Amino acid sequence: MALENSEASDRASDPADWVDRHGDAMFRYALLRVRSMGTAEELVQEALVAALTGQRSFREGSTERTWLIGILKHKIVDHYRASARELPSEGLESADRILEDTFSPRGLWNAGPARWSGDPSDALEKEEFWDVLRDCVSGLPDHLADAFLLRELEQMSGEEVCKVLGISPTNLWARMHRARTGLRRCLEEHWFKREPREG
Amino acid sequence: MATLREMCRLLNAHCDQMSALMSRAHDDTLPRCERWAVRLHLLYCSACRRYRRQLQFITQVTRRLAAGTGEDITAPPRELSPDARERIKRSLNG
Repeated sequence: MALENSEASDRASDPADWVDRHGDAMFRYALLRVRSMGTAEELVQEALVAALTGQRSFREGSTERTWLIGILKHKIVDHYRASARELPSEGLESADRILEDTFSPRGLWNAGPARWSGDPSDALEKEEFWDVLRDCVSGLPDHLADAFLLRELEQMSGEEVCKVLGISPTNLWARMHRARTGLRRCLEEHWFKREPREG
Repeated sequence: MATLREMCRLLNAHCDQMSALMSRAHDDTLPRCERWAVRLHLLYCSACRRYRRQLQFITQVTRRLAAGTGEDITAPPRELSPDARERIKRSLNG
């Protein structure tokens, strides 16, 4: 936040400095959301070129970083909109085994969620926790990660996500359920199991 | 009657369907029957109560991830490669 304030100005700086000033942060922002270094690089480039050619003008009162990230967000959504058409329309059940492994055929928990010892919020201050969380999100099958990232990281409404991915609400709910269940299990295996157990 | 039948169906639902409804509640307003069925189920199912708490935790941490602007503890420790940096600079000069 302190950095943002120090960069606050009423106009954008020389475009020649953009890559050095904002390139890495924009790259990390995009990488988190598209999971591919190559795609993230392309999107940063597209966003900066769009900023340069004035496709979205800089607003007074905003910071240069916020302005550029705003353009990048649009490029990320465009990327998802374009790639969604290439997704095969195969059944969700055959695409991953997340729920099949979690529940018995009768619909009961196989093992059930384990107790997460201690205060899970303590994890938030640890850098390693965020490494594990990012790995768990990236490790989701693409068709689940796409929906999850648009909904939870881009904070789009369910309706908007359906439009971008070209899927029905029922399909979105099914994908989100699988994504959350997979993520829950991944965090349990790779983070909470490492903590000492109580009792 | 239709509502009653729906209620009976939901009361017989197991944890897989309940967990789906609890997840859906994060994306959509649940219809009244479903909402009550989940509440009743949670009264006697401790595994689903735990699942619900853990889903809330996941929502909390991903919100924090979403709020990051690429420079805090939540950001991946990566930088633009020298190649990409040069390529982007060239595209801004051209």
